Amino acid sequence: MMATMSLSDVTAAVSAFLFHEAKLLDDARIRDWHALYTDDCHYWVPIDETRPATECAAIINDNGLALEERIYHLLETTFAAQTPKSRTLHFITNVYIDGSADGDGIVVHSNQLIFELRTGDYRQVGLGELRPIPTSVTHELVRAGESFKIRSKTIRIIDRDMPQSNLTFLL
Amino acid sequence: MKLVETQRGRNDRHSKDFSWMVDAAGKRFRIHTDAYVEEDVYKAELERIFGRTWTYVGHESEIPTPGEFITSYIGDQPVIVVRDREGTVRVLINRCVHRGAALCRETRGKTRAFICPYHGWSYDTSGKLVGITDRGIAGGYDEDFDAPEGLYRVPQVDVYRGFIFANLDPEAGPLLDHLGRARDVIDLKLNMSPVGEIRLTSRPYSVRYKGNWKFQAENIVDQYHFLFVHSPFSKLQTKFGDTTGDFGVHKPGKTHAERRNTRYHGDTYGCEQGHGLSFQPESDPDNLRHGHFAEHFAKLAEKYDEETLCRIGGKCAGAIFPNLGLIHHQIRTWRPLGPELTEVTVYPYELVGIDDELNAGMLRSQERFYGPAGYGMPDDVDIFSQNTEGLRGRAVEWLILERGIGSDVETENGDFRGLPASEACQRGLWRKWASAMKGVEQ
Repeated sequence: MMATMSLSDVTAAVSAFLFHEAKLLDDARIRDWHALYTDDCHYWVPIDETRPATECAAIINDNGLALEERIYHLLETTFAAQTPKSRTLHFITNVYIDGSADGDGIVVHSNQLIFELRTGDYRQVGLGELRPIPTSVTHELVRAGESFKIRSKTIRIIDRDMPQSNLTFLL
Repeated sequence: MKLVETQRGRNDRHSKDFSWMVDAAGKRFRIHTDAYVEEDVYKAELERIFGRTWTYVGHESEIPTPGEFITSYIGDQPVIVVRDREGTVRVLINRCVHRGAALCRETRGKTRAFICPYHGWSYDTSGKLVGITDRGIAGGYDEDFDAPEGLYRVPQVDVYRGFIFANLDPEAGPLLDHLGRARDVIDLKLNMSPVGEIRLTSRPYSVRYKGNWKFQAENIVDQYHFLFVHSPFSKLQTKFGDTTGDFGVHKPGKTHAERRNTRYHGDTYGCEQGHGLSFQPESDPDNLRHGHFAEHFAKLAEKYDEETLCRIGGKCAGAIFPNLGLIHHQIRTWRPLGPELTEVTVYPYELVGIDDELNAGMLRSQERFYGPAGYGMPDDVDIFSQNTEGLRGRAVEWLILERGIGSDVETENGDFRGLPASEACQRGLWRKWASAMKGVEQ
């Protein structure tokens, strides 16, 4: 089906999918968001994407099971860094399909500006700070019926090799 | 102008005695709120603690060959840690001695010279001034110009098993005296490697938190908080165990009592030099014959007796006064940026001479707990902000650090040995702090 679509149609379909993913995140529909991922997915927030994982730690480096654990951590446990919980808003631009990518998936790059905020008693130290997190994101999508599933998502935070604050919510 | 000029006295503008902020007598051990939040205290700490104590500035594996450098800090003072042409490790203040511009703007690199971007003065890697641009022209410098020898060399630099320490006080005693019992933690960690070496290969994690640096120094060896702050992590361990990258580091425990038994064994020390050390040897040597490191421990068993092997294969952690932490397979360092702002950097290390697979496994294990999206450290960092918020309630003056004080035993060298459920480690930090923060005789 994709083969018969024009690039602008594919870009529109993929963009709509990215907006949908962002909406699920911003609405904190965590299980629905997780359902967008394949079982063998890779969810990666590198510190240095040029270095192999065998020798360089990442901020997040989840395979399918580890992502399941991340969801369990968010939904089934109560921990200090998400008490109160984060709110997010994702702004997505520069959606660009990478035509040079091999394989059966669609590789799409986007710039995502994520705003994050923890409220609760916003007057307190460590709360009530609206944080902009500029990121460059690469998705590898595979067809799933009329829509897509995410086989991998790589999020390159602009200051990924500098001190980060709390990133325990879903980017 | 000499390369090494004594700074002692010059910066001692703060003669105020802050030692009363540690109220310790008999079974009383309380810390005053101001010790964590006051600007005056922070300024005095920079001079009296960071200005006079051996502080960790980097690891030799970061600068293996001549010309390689990293930038670092001693308290709030910027330094370049460089291996010079002869192979000697130098610690130089990152400041051109002409008009003060920082020379080096990268965190690491390799160079033959440091050239000031402001007026082009150049220094070799030992810090020696080797060139002044347009020196002799009309309006330049006269023949009798009292040119400095070079960059300010931190007067004392020493290396213990790859750990580079520097001391701004030329009169301070030797590094080995400062490390004292903390050498045991470094030794146990490094002896996990068959050749006794580690290497900093990974990029570090770094976080900043709104809170005092001593929160981190206290927390890294606090077994007590683990069962509370990190109980969500224990829940993950119970459900996912070793399947998601723990790599056998943390034992699952189904109940609070089970987890308590895991954490609360072994010894802790509050050292005279301000270190807090925690040793939890493996209680069943049979456990070392199973798991990811079984083959590795079998090889180490040829070298060490069983007791030593259990100490190497168990857990140990240290807060080495004032700015170095060792836990898991990482070097951690903290840098004060103000009374209520601290930067923490976590360098996961590789054990030299073991299978790549084991080193990679340990990286995954650290990813899972540390880092800004991990299941442990972000919670500690959040608690540090909560501490800062809570301490604004100044109507309550004192914090209580008396847990297990009755079980502390003073050892022959002035360290106190305590039980792992106690706050013996933290008391060590504060005893040293109080003695360092006494007023200076003018």
